[in-house]
Amino acid sequence: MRNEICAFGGVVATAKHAAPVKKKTITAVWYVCGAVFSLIFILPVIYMLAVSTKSQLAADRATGIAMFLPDFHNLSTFFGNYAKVFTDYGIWQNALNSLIYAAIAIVCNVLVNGLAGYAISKFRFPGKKFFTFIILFLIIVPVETSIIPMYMVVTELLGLSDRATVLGVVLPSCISIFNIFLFIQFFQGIPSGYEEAARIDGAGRLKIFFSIILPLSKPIVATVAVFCFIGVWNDYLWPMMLLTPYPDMMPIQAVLQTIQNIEGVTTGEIMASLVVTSIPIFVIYVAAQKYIVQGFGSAGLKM
Amino acid sequence: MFLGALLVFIAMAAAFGTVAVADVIKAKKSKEIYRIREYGSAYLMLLPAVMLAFIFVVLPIVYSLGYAFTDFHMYYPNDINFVGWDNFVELFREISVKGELYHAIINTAIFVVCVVPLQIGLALVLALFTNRKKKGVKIFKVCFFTPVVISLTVTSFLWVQILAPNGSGMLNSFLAMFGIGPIDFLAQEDTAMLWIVLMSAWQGCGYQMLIFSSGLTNIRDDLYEAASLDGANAWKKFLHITLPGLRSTLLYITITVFVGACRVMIQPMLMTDYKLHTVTLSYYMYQLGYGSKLVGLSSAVALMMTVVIGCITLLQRKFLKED
Amino acid sequence: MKTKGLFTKAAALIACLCCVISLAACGGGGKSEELESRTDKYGNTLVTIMVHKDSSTKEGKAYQKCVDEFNAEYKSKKIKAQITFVAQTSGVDQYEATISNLYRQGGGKLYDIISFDAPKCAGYAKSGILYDMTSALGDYTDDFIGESINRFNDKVYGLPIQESSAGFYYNLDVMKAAGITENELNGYKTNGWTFEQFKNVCERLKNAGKTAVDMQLAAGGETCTYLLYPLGNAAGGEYVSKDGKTANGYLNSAQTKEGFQFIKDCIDSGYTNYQISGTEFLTKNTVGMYLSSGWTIPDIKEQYSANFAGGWGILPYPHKDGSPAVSATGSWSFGITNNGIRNKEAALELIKWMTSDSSATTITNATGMIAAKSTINKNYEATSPEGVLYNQLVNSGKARPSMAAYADFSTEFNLIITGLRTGGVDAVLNEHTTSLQTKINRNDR
Repeated sequence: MRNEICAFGGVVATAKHAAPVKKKTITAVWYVCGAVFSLIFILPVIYMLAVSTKSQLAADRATGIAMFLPDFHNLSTFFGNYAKVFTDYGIWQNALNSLIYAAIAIVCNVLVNGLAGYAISKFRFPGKKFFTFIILFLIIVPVETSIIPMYMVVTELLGLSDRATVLGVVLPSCISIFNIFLFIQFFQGIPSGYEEAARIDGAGRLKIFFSIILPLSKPIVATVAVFCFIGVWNDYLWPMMLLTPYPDMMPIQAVLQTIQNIEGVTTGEIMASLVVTSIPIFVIYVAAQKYIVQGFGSAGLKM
Repeated sequence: MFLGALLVFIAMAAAFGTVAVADVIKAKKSKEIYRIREYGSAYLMLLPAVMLAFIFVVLPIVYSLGYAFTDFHMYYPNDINFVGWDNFVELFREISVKGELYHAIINTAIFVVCVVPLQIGLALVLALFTNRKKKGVKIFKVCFFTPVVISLTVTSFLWVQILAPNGSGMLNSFLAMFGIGPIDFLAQEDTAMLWIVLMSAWQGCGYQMLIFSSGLTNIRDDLYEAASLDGANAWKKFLHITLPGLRSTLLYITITVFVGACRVMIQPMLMTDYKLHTVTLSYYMYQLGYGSKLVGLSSAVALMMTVVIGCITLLQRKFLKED
Repeated sequence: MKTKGLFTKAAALIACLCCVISLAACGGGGKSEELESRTDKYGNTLVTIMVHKDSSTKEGKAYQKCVDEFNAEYKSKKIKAQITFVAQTSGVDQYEATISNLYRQGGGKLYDIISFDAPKCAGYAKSGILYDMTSALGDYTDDFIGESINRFNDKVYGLPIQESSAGFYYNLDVMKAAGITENELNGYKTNGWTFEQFKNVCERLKNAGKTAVDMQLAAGGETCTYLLYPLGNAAGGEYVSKDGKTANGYLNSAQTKEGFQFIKDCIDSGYTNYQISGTEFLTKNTVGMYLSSGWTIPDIKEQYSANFAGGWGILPYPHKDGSPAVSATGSWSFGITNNGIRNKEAALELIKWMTSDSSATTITNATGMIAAKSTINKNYEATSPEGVLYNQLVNSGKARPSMAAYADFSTEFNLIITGLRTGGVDAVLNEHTTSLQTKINRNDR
């Protein structure tokens, strides 16, 4: 019932008492509008999918509706571009890299930031204000502005070189000030009673965190994990800067640029690589839509 | 560099120590005590985050701050001199002669001014539009949300193809049906930035739509019902119930979209390369430090950006807090 | 309450103070350590080499082959070469960035031998990335085409892998359709041609309903600079002074402006435009000429031969009547880095191997470019595509400006070409002279 009333949809509320014909017209208009809007939004994506099945010639020649339809005349080469992207350009290796980096990042992110958030939200310790202040300060600094010094920190100060450079891609994604902030907000909402009960039973702090706090925080953990995955999977510039000399360790986004530069690459192949890159994120979004909304619903808004 | 890192660490530790000591003194005065077991384990739990944050967040920021006052050039890593405010003077000079930085600022401003209202407005309209329980609304939502799923890198490459001036470009194929010759959209000086704006809004607004949707569900139904009884029309209800109800959501979205817009870099980088009519502040900064090797000057730009964006964010947040 | 405020302020003060102090120490690591020769566990001396192509490309495979041959040959002498492929990208050049980053990190991380684009030589030499090979090479350099050896302050820092020149490819069918005979074209090939003759040919192509020429105005990056810089010089102008430190009075000189005016005229008269796609000349019969480098020769021969059944060729760069002809030269080179001298003998052996006659043949066969050595490739027919490029190279080749801030020059050149789309030559060149001069000054050490 609640959803039926929206803002312009005050219209709906009035319509309730109006003639049913009027209501039907409004519904029809609504559907038509929705269809048109949706089409505008989805058209480029359809175009991408369609071109990814075409040869260069077919892509160049297609006009009108044919632009958005796959190439049915050449069913034998329907997945030819994909086959080439996977075998010749070896994108599966980079996709796998991305998955591994994301998996490591998710685990570390939840543990590191979760622990920090737990300490700050649930403990009394001297110097707490210092941390809360630093967190608020660091959130507002845009990441891009320190990307070059960051490069120097990784390569010079930590001395990561050769294949260890990959740590420079993984480690920074394990810390997120914003996620600490999310955790703090969430943990503050957990009543202290749970902990105290456990403490009386003689459980240690870490044990409480793992056995009580984390299970209670499933929604925020899921949110952080999803955002972390998306962040790592979509990161482009930073891995590009670090891993150029090691193409076999590059994540998938960075290798898109390489594919564009291959001699004789066709539009269809480029599109196929773009589709392959987008699919996992699409799956994640569909599966975890709930948690994405929760992310800003619960804590993000209070910042 | 190691020495610098050590000094920064000592500085942070000292600052922390001072605050901590202050806390302890204050606690003593009010006869509270800190239990060592409690704060010991708290520090241990903070340790990994503090280490990582120090290395990957704090240090780069401090270095960036430091380099801004030097003539650091990547080819001469052993010859770094302190130059005071010279870098900033140079930047202001470049603005005054309408150099690349001037274009970067103007382009970024155009982008921010266009994309913030467009993206938020679009998101709001879509959220209101999909905020009803009808069959198929989920499909609409998925459609609106699909572009968000696609990363900026992918969308940029995709739109390069869509806007391509040759036969395979989607838009030009369309126009060709009406006999309009191929147009190189991204090379047109006056409209290229607008295409980037359009693309970014298209890509991003589904995300904000979801936030608005969750905000809309928090507005109480009886408000609308009461308003209906008072004979208020749809527009009045929107103005007096929906908008105030969305106030905090709106402010949050404004902040995030604004900051995101200020940092725009990937789109012009991948879609047009380094061109005066599309270069943005972040891209200019990156090109200066990474392409032209002038890390010092680039850090000065970064510092200016941080200060400006930071101040505006703080102002907005203050506004939010007063709510 | 008061105490707390005081302490917080004190904390902030201490933090600020220490940050400022630390600035001085920011980058002060000493990097001039002595590097030890590297060996693997079998006692082989290791030499590392980095090239700018992906290993899957034809050129990359050629490099790999040369290195494999070297390793087979030098197995008994206990020298082993390791090759790394770092593909050059458009946009911010990651290959270039890799070189400067590895160098900056010190500790011998930079590869012993690197490939680099010829005009970058000055910057690398000046900053100490490259090693001065003059005395070590001795008379080995005699075999190379003079212009193509990378010199800075008269010292040798790089040996060319291959040479390239560019020219205007033409499709004979299209030319004939516009009433232009092969004889006329051959005349231009052997005697060169002026701006007026070029425009005349364009006019006839335009009247025949064709796009006269694809000048690759929208190519972007170094491609744009490389292909178009000879036109700016074709009226006798220069871009910067000889020492590479002054742009004012050179880039905005009357002669240089005349060269750019030629490009602008071609745009304004509708002979060329920015929209045209690079493949249009190769796949269709609608474009008369196509400005490109030697690397298009194998493409036409192998991929697009069907479209050129009626014949094709390359025309040289046009020039202003009365000024000497100028053509593009300068391809990629190999140089030994200052890290390479840790095992200098081995590095010299490798660089000589990579630029030897047999390696040069392997590589140029893969790329379709011209070997930079006078010991090979002398027997081209003067009007053949290779012959035109080779003659240009020997007779009218002019390297891109040698300057430490070359990357900035290239950026500015690109911006000039983009600017010509809407702006007048005078205004555009004046504007970019100022900004190029600024960038030169910033890089001046």
